[in-house]
Amino acid sequence: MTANSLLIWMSARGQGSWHQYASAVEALHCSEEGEQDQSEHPEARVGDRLSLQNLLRLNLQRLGHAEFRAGARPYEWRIAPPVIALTETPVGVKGVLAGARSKQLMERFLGAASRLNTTLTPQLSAPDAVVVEGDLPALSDAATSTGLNLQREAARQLLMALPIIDDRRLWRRCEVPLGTDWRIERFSSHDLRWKASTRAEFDACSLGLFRYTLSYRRHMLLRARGGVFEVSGQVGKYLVLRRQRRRTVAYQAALKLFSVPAICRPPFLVERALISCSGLLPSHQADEAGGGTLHYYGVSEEVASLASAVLRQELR
Amino acid sequence: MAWVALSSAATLLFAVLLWLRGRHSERPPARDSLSFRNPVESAGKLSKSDFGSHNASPEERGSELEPALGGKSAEVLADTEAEAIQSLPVFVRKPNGSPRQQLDGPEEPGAGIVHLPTPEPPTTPLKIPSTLSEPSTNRAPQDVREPRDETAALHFAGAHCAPTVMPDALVLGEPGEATTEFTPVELAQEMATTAPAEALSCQTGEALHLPRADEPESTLVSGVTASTGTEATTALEEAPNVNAEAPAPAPRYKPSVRGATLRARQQRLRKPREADSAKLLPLVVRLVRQRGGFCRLSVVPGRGAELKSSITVSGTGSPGEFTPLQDSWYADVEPPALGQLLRCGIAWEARDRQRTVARWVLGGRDVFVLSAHDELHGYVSSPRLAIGEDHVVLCLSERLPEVKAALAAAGAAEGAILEWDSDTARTWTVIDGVRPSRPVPQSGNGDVIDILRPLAEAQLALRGGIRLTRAVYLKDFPPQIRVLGDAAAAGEVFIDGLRASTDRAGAMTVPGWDSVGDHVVSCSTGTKTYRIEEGIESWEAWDAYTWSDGESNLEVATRPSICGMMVRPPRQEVKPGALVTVSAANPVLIGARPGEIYVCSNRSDLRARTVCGYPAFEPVWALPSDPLHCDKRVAKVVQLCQVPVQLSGTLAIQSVGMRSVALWTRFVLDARRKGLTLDAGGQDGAGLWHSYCAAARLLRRRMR
Repeated sequence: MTANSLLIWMSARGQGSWHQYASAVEALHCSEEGEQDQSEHPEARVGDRLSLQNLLRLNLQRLGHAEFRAGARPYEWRIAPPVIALTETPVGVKGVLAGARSKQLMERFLGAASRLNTTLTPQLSAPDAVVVEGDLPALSDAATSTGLNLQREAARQLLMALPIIDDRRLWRRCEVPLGTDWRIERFSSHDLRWKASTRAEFDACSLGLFRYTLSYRRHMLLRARGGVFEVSGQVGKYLVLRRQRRRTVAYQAALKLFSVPAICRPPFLVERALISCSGLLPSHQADEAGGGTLHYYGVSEEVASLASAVLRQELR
Repeated sequence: MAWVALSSAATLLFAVLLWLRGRHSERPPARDSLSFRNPVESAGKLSKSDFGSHNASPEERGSELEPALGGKSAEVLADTEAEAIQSLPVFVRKPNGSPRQQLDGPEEPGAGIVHLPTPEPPTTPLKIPSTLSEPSTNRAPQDVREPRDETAALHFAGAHCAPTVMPDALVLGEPGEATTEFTPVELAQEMATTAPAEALSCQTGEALHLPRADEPESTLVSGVTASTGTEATTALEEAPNVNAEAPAPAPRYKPSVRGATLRARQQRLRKPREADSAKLLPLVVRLVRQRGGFCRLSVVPGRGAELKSSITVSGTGSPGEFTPLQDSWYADVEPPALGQLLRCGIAWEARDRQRTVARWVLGGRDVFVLSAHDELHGYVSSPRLAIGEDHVVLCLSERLPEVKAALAAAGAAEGAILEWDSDTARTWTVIDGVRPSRPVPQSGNGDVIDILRPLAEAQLALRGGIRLTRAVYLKDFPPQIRVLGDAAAAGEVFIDGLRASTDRAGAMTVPGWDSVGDHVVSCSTGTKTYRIEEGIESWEAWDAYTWSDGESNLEVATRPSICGMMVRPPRQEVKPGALVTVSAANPVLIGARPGEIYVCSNRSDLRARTVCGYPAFEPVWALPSDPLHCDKRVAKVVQLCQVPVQLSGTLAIQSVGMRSVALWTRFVLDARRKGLTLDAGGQDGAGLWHSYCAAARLLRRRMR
């Protein structure tokens, strides 16, 4: 069994609880490839060991197949409706199949798209990428006859529907965790890694991202403007990088390659937009320092520009 | 004379019986169904309560039972400690695989209880049956007196082992499998030191508590060798306690002389039941293959329904905190010295307000058999090899030759060796791809290698498929129906009443076995049911992620929302149309009817070169936001489609859309007055634009 089975199971169920999902991951034995991938997971390399359930969850989210937690309320996960995310190419359009899948749906779609160039690419710890290429009318016909939704200019639309990372309305004030048992680390924008820190440094800091860890509990706290805010790790890193005027995002127009340091993985909705350009998860290129770089394929210049704008970064 | 002599003898016998009955009535009644008896007095006499819920008829048990004990609970017949020592009864499992054997005297009711010669203590370790509740395939039909309920299955007596509570910590090794050699004294000490709250004194006279039938097999005392004397003391292999905090020394594992049935094994591997959530929970070893011939090993603790999602656990190797994996299991635990712990055993416990709420015990051993599991991915420790199943065998490197020989005897081809990277000393060897093909007789000496000797048993199994709930499978993804073990023992297999045939993959099928509905599979060893259902085929979108512009009421959010790869129109759009994306320099969309005008919101924070909107009409033109004041060298009138202007009825509905019509007119005329360049597909575009301008002039004159 693979992650494809998990996606089919989720599609058949529609929505559910986290424990149901976790049980399905175990029972469907979407195992070994996931474990293999985990060993190469860039976040795992920097100390964030991910469980198989979470690794699959993140990939399902990034690929737009399902929403979890906050995005799935009142459930803990919910499958997204099937959609073909379109991207314009010089020769026509490219569509990435995302969302729910069932055997009947796939059979209908592959039958309707027989005149189109359809590619199925296996991925580690994620369902196969289904990409169709052709002209827009033919693809629209195929989608209509299959009952699929079409999302035109998906990457651009997704990015334009997102707030920029330093939108203060999204910050949430919080209290500093009490107790001395917490392990405190500070994100170093210079070295792009976490360094051990202290409560005294936290108190004296005017701007910094801190990670409080105690057992399985973890808080990402942004110290800024005299206050303490709880932010997601990815957002916090880019906030610190922006304040330090550190440019980390690179783009190669010739290769349509959007690259970020592995430790500075973009927020997952930004990733979803970048992934919609190719349907493929980013590849990880390791370096000597152990961090490595994530590469997103098929990203147009405009989408790269929008993504960097959301991240408040200047493209290199 | 003969008659007189006979009547005298009868009178004497009656008097003796009366005296004996009087002695019985002086003793207090037993507090539980489990107690001890003097073998001399009670040989062959068992009460109904001895078997708990056993429902066998008196005839089945022996008609002499009822008058002997009056149908009440058995009583403690051993009056003195010394007497009890001398009359120490122990259980014996028949070495050759027969479930019961009596060492002295003929088999009698309560088979399995063996009475040693009164004056002499046993010189060799004797064993209690491993899992008394396990069904036995080779059990004799007449052996109906064997307890069906574990609560009455075990009797234990001795000077220091009067009826007592069996602590959970004494569960030895793998659930339902272990046998550890303990003397009664050691057993009592073990109880006293490991579970002071529960393990009552051996002399309190309290009834021996044993796991109920509905408790997990892990709580069953698998096999206890009771013996006296110094040699038995040395027989106990005490596992080193890695952590001084350990609640109890981890036991050493030894397989039962006769293995569990496949069914019992499957039941053992299932999730812990609620009844024992606060007691002993499963602890299994898990192996997950990794790339390049490597593997990762961990232990997975079971989770009771009453336990918190995350709990702090102490004991061997200081495991720390358990975090949830799913309803029935905590997440994998990988102690640093896992190799040593596997060898020596693990005993963990969780406490809440000084009260032990859960225990996990894994018997240390030299060889582990791991196989597929219903609820956990990878390979999970199982009692023994089963014919036809894929396994991974984990053994101490020093025992590799024995293991290889046993695997060869079972017809398992020599599998690949996996590298366990955490085991830097290479103490353990991991053999992958072990698939035995034939049964092997058990050695009968309790050697751990016996778990590598498959039994000649068979069981129905539903493998694979996509399971929606417990026994419900998704249409097109049905389970594979297989006979595990010795297929000959299963006989013919029937699916929905039809004789099943085996396909190329080895699965059993009949026509319609995978159709929607309920199905029943049966063979001589058991029955299984499953159901096939269709899954959901329609999915609705929702606003999964909505970003407002600070509005207090999200119902009128001005921003689009995201659901999967879909971007949904803002809720403020009364009649959202199709998404339109245009250049940020031309955010004003003009439709064919006067009054059809839509202004796309611009994301200046993104410095986006494009803007998008959801107009309720089909836009024909895209105009700059301020045509009169734009840079005419750059700004253009962009044609989006070829739709002629539609003036009919426009002036008749003045009161409804006059403002929109005025705006529509102004934008068109301003763009014309500025003389903006037309970005159209061809000459038709210029003519179309002129027609729109003419219509706007006409409307303007009419509106004055």
